[in-house]
Amino acid sequence: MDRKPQFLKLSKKSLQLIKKLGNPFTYTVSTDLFYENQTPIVAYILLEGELILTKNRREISSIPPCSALGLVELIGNKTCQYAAKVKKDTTLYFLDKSSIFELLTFKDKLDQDFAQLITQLEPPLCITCQ
Amino acid sequence: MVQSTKSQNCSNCPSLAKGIFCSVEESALADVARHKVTNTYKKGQTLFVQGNHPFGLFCISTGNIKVTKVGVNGKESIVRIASAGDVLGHRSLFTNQFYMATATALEDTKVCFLDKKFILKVMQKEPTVSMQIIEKLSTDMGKAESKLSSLHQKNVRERLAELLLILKESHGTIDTEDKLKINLKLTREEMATMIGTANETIIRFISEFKEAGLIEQKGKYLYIKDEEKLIDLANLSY
Repeated sequence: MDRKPQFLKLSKKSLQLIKKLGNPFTYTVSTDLFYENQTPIVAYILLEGELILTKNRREISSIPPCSALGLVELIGNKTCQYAAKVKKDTTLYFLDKSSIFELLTFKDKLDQDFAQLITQLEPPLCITCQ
Repeated sequence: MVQSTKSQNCSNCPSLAKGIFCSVEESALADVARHKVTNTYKKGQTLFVQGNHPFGLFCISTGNIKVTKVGVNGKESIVRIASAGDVLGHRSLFTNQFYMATATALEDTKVCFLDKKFILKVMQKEPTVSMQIIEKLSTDMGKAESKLSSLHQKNVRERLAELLLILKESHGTIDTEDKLKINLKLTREEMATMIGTANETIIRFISEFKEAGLIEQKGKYLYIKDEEKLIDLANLSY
């Protein structure tokens, strides 16, 4: 039986730190973020608007605001069984792998489950983001 | 259930020799392999969309991607075909602009993604990567200038002949019958947008080329029969 898609609800303090890493972006058209059986290239944090998950082109669920989608898959280099689509006028933050490394320096200030998750990401040996 | 992907070694990439990491040492390549995100895009799936936020660089391992721009009238035209060894999204790295075009898979295409911060650091640490990107940008610029010049100075017949020769250079293979095949499936409409003409016009000229023995078609693929005549027809200046 398919599990529901994993997303992480983030607290205000985590969001404050994420905001320091870059500006949000508002999609002016509905866009596919990633497709079924793909690994998201970045994690998406929904600020406002609508982000829906689909399977076989059928809508399965939507993500609540202040949630991070694709974080587990990006960190674990895993594929997602669901596709994600963002609706028009939706605002998101993005976390790529390099930004996640930057967040590691602030991991004491993050939510416990978020901090635990991002520490699984193996930093590059000879090229660091520090 | 979330499935695991195997981390693929960049050293084994079939496009390594044509790509931007062709001169990078094994240790740095290992870092790239750990950092990259690899996905397969099926035909019609988009890597990025015109007007959206750029995340980084896409390296094409296998397959073909069409890069298209939508004009104010809503019409889409192909500005480039990217293949194995090519990179996409690199212009946005330096200009800080949103994506100026849409990238869509023409067939099952394997693509590796590297985020902006990482690739900029690699470029600082590995000058050969920077040089390769500069080379690709320069080549793209040259092709764009040639295309612009052709649109102004050549008629449709000449532009079609030139397009076929360009596709032969980029995607030409010799098949089992020793024939020169353009190993790329493009619709007539897509070809028409590449040379700035109408669908009906290109259909007419392709038929004309077939009747003249310049090209032939088997299934969805075009074959070049008389390359010399096509070169004459294309009115090339080099």
